[in-house]
Amino acid sequence: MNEAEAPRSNGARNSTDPASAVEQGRRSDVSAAPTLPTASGEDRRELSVDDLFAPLAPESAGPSRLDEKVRQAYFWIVNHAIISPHYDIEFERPGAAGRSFALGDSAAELRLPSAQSYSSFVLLPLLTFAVRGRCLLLGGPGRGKTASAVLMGILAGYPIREVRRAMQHGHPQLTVTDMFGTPLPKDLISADSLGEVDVAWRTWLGMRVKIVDEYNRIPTRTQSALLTVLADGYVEVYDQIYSTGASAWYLTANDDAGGGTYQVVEALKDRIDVVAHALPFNTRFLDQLVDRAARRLRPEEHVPEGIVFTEAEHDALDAAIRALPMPADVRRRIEFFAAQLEFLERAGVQFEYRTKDTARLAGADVHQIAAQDTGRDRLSDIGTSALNGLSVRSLQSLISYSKAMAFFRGRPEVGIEDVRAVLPFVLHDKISPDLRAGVFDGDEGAPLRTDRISWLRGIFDDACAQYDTLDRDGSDAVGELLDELHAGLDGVDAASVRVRLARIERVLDSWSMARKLYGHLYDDALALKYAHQRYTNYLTWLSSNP
Amino acid sequence: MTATDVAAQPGGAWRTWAVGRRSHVGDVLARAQAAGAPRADLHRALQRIGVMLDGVATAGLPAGRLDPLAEEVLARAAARVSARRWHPHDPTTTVLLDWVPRLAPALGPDPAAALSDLITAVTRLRGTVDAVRWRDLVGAAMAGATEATHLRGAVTVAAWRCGAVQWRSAALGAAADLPESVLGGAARLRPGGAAGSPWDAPVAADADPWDVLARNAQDPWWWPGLTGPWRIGGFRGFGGPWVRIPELLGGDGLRWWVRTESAPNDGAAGTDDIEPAHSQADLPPYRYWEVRADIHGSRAVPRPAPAGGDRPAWAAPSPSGPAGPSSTVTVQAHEHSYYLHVARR
Repeated sequence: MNEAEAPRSNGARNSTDPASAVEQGRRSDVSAAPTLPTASGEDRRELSVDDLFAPLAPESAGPSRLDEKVRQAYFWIVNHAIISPHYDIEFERPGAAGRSFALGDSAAELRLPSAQSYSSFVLLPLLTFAVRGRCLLLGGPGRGKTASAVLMGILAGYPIREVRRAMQHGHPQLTVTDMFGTPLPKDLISADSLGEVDVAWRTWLGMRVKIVDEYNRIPTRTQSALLTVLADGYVEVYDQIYSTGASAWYLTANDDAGGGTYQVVEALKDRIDVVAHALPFNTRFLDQLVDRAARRLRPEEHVPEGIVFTEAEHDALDAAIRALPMPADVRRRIEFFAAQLEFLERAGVQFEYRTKDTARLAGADVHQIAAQDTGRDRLSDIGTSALNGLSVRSLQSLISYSKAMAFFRGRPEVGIEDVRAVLPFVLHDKISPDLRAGVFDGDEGAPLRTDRISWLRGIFDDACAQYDTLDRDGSDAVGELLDELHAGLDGVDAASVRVRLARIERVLDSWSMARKLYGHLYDDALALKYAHQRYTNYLTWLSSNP
Repeated sequence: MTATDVAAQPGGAWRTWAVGRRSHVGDVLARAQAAGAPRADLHRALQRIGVMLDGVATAGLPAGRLDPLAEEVLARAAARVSARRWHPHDPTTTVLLDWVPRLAPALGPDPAAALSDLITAVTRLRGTVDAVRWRDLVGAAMAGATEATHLRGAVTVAAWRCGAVQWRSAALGAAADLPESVLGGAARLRPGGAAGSPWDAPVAADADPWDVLARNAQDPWWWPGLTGPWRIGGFRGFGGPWVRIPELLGGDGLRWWVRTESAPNDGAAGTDDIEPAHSQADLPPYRYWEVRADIHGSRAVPRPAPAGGDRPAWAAPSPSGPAGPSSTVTVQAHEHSYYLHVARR
């Protein structure tokens, strides 16, 4: 090799180095363009020559731009890692709905959303990472479930080898000690009590991202132990406790209907915050697979540093999402929706026990009891299509993921469209459809038997439509009464209390005269009873302390 | 693709350079292909830059200058091909193929920084200025320059001259530091150079560029040979910013405060992907715009509704009309027109 042929650059490379410049388009880079451009960036100060030549990309994503970093991670994954050209989480620009096309004999509707929309299979694991929740990835073999979970581990800053080593693979012989830790043999021999037995805990328990592959192949006893870790963040072996701290969980399964080696414990299913389906591969994107095979590309080995979250960033991300406000009108719609699911008028005699929970605990057939109702519009009453109501845990998951969605979209507060986007995935395994209900009959209803996402989104849309029809934003007598109560009773005199009690009774009177009892009225009635009881107690106290 | 393939391409200086730097070129190309650059695209891109560099060398760029320039251009072109961004509308591609031939000597002995400046500026002003004339004015300004010392100033002045009104004050400031020949070329204040409307305006051979800019600084609507009247804005379908007829509320001589009735999709042209913050039900009755304009161009930017009134303090109406007390022009909106009409008083 002569002098002219020798490579010119050697030693450390800088940004002006040609070799570095070549790397600008590699998978190891994150696009500098903003993922969600906004008009508010227009600067009103006088521009200078330096502004014209200032670098176009932000130098780095600081803590205040964590939402941008999450979006960059999303777009890097969909562009370079997971081939998922689906946009099933659709958003529309207000006042500018996208076009729809009816295709085929069944008039299958294809919508072209007018605003930035997302692939649930990529977005939901990412939101789970952000809120440190629990995500179940469902889908047939080879759909990218495990790859998606591994990517989340790498986003948390763990080396690929460590993520792979820490991944728990479900199999029928997996024991509690295999999974969590083994007591030290010398302690087993010499210890006088269980408390003296030291346990060698598995390292994966301390990681911020935990992956359990094929969790439906784990034996039932081990599933029960997993339940405690998943829900409460600690594990117990030989009287020793290990606290795992907040972490994002990813569980994968090939089949949600119990097709694994073991039936999944119901309680374990309930602990899962969100379910993401791996959608089928679109064969039009086969060229990308061919290209990857030709170049032996493994995206998880080329995750750019710019989208890796340090522990401090992860904490800040979680805190920022929790701090996002949920406006009262959005909260009211969630209340209105959830109230309708639990109510079952004929399940009990006492007012408080007229719920599906009462029927289920008694082992009764919820559908049969619901069928005894007369005069109710079974198609518009969304409660009749579900066999159970929402647990507190489900509502917490819904709030948490709605906030995460709003944060991801760069919104200052949660909007109803954020709730609508995540609701079907959060409630996927939480609400059981009553497949004998009328809503699942006919040409329109039959596909909903298998498409739970569309059914859940549909009943939420119905609830929102009813909410608008009833003008609950404009007239909410119960809300006003509760606000009055929550403002505090300090200084409220007996006369005022009596006026308020009379108003509560007037509202209940008006309902007993004219209306059928629906779920939202049921919860409102119980809330009024609560308020009435508070005022009654207060009045008693006032009377005894004149 | 290898360095041998590059060297096999016909050509003089480029071929010689590629053969001489075979190892380096091979390294760059191998990395580009590993990063996803298709071989055929790389081949086409290198053909184009080869033709460009041969032209630059033929025009007299010394070999010592050609070497770093070729290296820089090769690296940037390979990066763009890897990113699947090498196409005629890409700012980097445009700069490498269209700007460099006109500016090669002026990029200096180490062209990396100057190229980055040009690419940044072209990317930033993409779609807001007449890019071809901008390029020609910068080329005319830097003709004969052998260093990039005045490149930023020339680019800024030429951008303003081609319609980037938001850089007006920056250009007027930068002009003070430019040599007469550079300023004359960038502002097209010397005979010859780029042609075409509004460049057809006659320029006196003895026009002093600083005098012209000083007078324009006082009167943004004065320029030798250009007498008006002018129009600002226009209907969106014809390239303007508005889908409703504008209503002029006030101004200060350089900025005007305008409102239009709200309509779905009436954001600034080119920003349709931005989601409005309001739902349709909450759509405000009016949308407000700040319009900057001078004799060389205009720019309308949507602004939030002002708090406590319909206009900001600077746009308060004055006895001498909405254009402001010191203006030498009148600006008017007509109820039948999507334009604001500017005429000398």
